[in-house]
This record gives sequence, C-alpha cells and structure tokens, in this order.
Amino acid sequence: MTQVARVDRGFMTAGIGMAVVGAALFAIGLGGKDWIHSYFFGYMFWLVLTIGCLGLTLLHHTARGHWGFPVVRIFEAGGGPLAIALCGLGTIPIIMNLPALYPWADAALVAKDPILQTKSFYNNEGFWIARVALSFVILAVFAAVNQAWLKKEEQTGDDRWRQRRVNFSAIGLVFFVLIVNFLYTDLGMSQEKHWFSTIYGVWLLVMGALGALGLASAILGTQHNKSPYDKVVEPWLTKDLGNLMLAFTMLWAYFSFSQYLIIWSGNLPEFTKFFLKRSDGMWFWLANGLMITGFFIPFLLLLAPRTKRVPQIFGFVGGYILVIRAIDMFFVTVPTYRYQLSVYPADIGALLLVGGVWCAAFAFVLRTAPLVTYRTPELKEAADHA
Amino acid sequence: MSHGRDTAPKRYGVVASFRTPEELLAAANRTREAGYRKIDGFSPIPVEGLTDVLKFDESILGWITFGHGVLGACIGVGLQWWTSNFAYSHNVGGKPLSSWPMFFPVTYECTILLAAFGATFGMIALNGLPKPHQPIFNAEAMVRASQDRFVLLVEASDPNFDETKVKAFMQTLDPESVEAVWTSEGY
Repeated sequence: MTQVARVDRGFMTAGIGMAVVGAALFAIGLGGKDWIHSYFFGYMFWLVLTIGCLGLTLLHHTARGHWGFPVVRIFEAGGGPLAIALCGLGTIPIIMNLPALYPWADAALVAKDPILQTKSFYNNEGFWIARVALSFVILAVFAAVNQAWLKKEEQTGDDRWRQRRVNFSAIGLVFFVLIVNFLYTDLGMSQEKHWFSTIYGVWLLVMGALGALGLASAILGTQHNKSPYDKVVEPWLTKDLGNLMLAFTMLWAYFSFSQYLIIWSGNLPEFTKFFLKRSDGMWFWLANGLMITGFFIPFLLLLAPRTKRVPQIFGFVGGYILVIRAIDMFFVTVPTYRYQLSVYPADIGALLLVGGVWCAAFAFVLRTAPLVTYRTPELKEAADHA
Repeated sequence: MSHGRDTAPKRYGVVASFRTPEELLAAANRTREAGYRKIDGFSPIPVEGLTDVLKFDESILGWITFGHGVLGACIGVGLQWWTSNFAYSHNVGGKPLSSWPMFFPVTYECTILLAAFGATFGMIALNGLPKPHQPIFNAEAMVRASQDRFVLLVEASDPNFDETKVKAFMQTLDPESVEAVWTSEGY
C-alpha cells in the first residue's frame, strides 16, 4: 500500500513555523525606518511566485500539454483567487508607506525634480492605488474562472468546459501579460526615480514562472512515491517539466543579461544608475554570483538527462531554482535603498512571514480538491501510455 | 580485382510484417520478452511507445554536441580576447579592452554554431551515413514499410540469433509474412 501524499499538511506546518519565526525576526526591524524595504522584498518574492503560478495555469489551459495536468492543482493553489486576494491585501503596508518606497510619492522630492513633476499625472497616489487594485481584481477573476470551470468539468464530465477554458485562457494570457507588466512597473520599477527598462515586467514574470515550476518540481520530486503522484511522476513528465524549466532558465538569463548589455554599451547616466547601485561594493559579487548560481548551475544541471529522469534529483533542482529566486529578488529590489550589501534579520523575517501566510493559504486551497485531476482525458491517456 | 574482403551475401536478420501499429508494438514487446536485444522497427507513421520497447542505446550525441559547444565558446572568447587586446586594440567609449559583456554575443553565437555542427555531423557520423547499401531494403516486406505495413527486424548480430528459431518464433506473433534478409552480393 502506497503512502498518501499530504502536501497540504506539510505546507500548513511549514507555513505556521515560517510565520512564527518570520514574525519574530521581522519584529526586530520594526523600530527602524527600513522595515518597509524588508517587507517589500519579502512581499515581492511571494507576489512574483503567485503570478508565476497563475501564468502557468493560463499557459496550461491554453496549450493543454500533458505536462500540465499533474501540476495544475499546485499552480491553482499557488496562483488562485485566494492567493491573489492575499497579495492584494499585502499591498496595504506598502500603500500606507508610499513615500518611503516611491520617490514620486515624496512631495519634497517631487518639488525639486522636474522629471518627477512631468510624470505625476500618471504616478500619483490615487491613480497608482486604483491601477494596482484593478490589476489584482482582474487577475483574481482570471484565476477564479479557470478554477471554477475545471471543477465544473470534473463534476459533470462535460468536455465543453475544457474548450471554454482554452478560449478564455488564450485571450486571457495576452491581457495577463499586459496587466502584470503594468503591475510590476507600478510596484517595482517606479521605485527608481528616473530609471526605466521595457523588459522589467517580463523579467519579473519569467522569475515567477521559474519559481512556480521549481515549486511544482520540488513537490513532485519529494512526493513521487506517494499517491497520487506515484501514478503520474514518470520520466516523460519530469523530462517535459525539466525542459520547460531549462527554457525559462535560459529566458531569465537572456532577459537579465540583454538588459544589462544594452544599458552597459549605451552608457547613458539615467540608465546606468540601476546597475551602478547593483555593482557597487559587495553587490558586485552578488551580481556575479547570481550569474553562476542562477544560470550556469541550473543550466548545466538541467541539460543532463539524468536530472530529468531521477525524481529525487529533479525535485532537488526544482527546490534549488525556487530558493535562488529569493536571492534574485533581493538583487532586484533591495539595492534601490541600500548602498552596501547587507542582509537584515527583518529581510529574512519578512520573507518568512509573508511566506508563512502564503504557504498556509496554499495548503488550505490544496486541501479542497484532489492533488491530480483525473477526469481530464489527456492525463488518462498519458497514464495509460506511461 | 579482389579487395581481400569477403563480399559474399551474409545473413542480416529476419523480418516480420504486420498490418497495424498495435500489432507491431505487441510483437516488439513479445520479441523483447523472448530475449532478443538487437531489434528494430520500421513504420510509415510514428508509433507511440515503440522507441520505449526497442530501447535504443543512449546516444553519446549529447556529449558530442556539448563538447563542440564548449569548444565554440573557447574559440569565441579567444578570438575576441586576441583581437581586442592585441590585433586591433582600440579604445571604444572608454571601456576596458577586455570588456567581457561585449564578448557574450559572439561567444554565444560561436557556441551554438559549433554545437549545431557537432549535433548535425555527429548524428550523420554515428548513423554511419552516407550508406549507399542498407541490407534491410532487400526484404520484400520493406516495399510497403513506408506505405501501409509495419515491419519488425531481429538482427543477425543479436547474441541469441538463430535463423530457424527466430523465424519460428516470429510466426507465433501472427504476422502477415516472415522472411530472412541477406546482404547483397558485393557488400
């Protein structure tokens, strides 16, 4: 008799533990004025992961590849309406501290900066809050519709719900990328006073997709001998997911590096600022380390067929890719306000505290439905031929 | 003129022909279970699952491609390092002579160029191409293997190969035809 995978229980325990430890660490930083920066880093990591999960859900419903069925529940729990609603609520501390994060919200700064003044028709508190709120509402609707329609198909066995999801998600994916681009621009990029990059939004989007795939792979890899995953974790599945992770790893490297290369060779003051901060002092070593740990190591690991065949190795590589995203996000967000590379306890605290809530919500949603959708004919076919 | 090589026809194997992909898949499965290892299938359409049964040896092509890729990267970096430091050292926008960010695009292109060469020519070499004579086409059954028949081959190089035994075994698989294949005179 095979054991039953209790992913929800594991994540609930981990979530509570993370929240308690995180709250204690985060409390250390609450006295200072930097806590909101720590919070923003922790929040962004989980927001990007959530949106990555939602993006892969939409991609799965559009493409209907076999690889999606065994993991779509994970993506639904990670990028479902509840997770997105929580991410929306998570903006409240940010909204309450806008001037500490966004130069355009700092009246004194705007008064002496003509560039910020010109942008103020777009970057002002009211419009910003409205845009961010609207983004979360639309994303939550996208997630809720797909989740409800998948459930309907499972209950009724009616194939038409599948086609409806395809029609909805294919168009939804286009709007998803647009909306998320605006959201990341508002939340992250507008923290830089004058700097802008057109690849910023998709850069973070790919980070999220990579994190979500890493999460799913880690779950599959560690639970591969427990029901129901023992029936679906086969070499073809880990190979497909591994190749997708490999593609996203290359895309991440391409976005990260092409952005740097264009700015570096252009050498214009308003653009180089972003990378000057990130190559100063110890940040330089973090940037270089990220090239090795974020690209070369996972790239070479995922090239090897063995990684994509042995579930344990596959799960380990997935977990590694997810963990690296935290360093990645630290590099993207924190240097904006910190001139020297230093990790505060509150940074770890915020990451764990937000993560604890996220994991608890993840576990809560995961419990409401079977881990794998069996009604979908593709999976049956895949399971038969495996 | 003699080349000192035996050019008389030699045993190549035994083929059986089937009407449906399912029959071929089932027959391949049973042939494998019977202990034959050097088996191959020929089909006008892709048969899902057949490659899993035939169990092709893991190819070293990946390593050949990887090796060529690494070689390409080294050539790309080396070329640029030499040209920008020695052959044509110019001050471009006040940047250092060895500006590695600028080296990436050419290094990358050299990597994939040589990796693609490695993959293409490596594949051709590993397949023993060009091969003007392929004995399998001496089989009657192969005439329709690219149209509407599914052919299974047990090669004579299989350690368990015995023509009469293989023929008798293949008759039990309910084939359309079974025949022995020989190489052509002169090869």
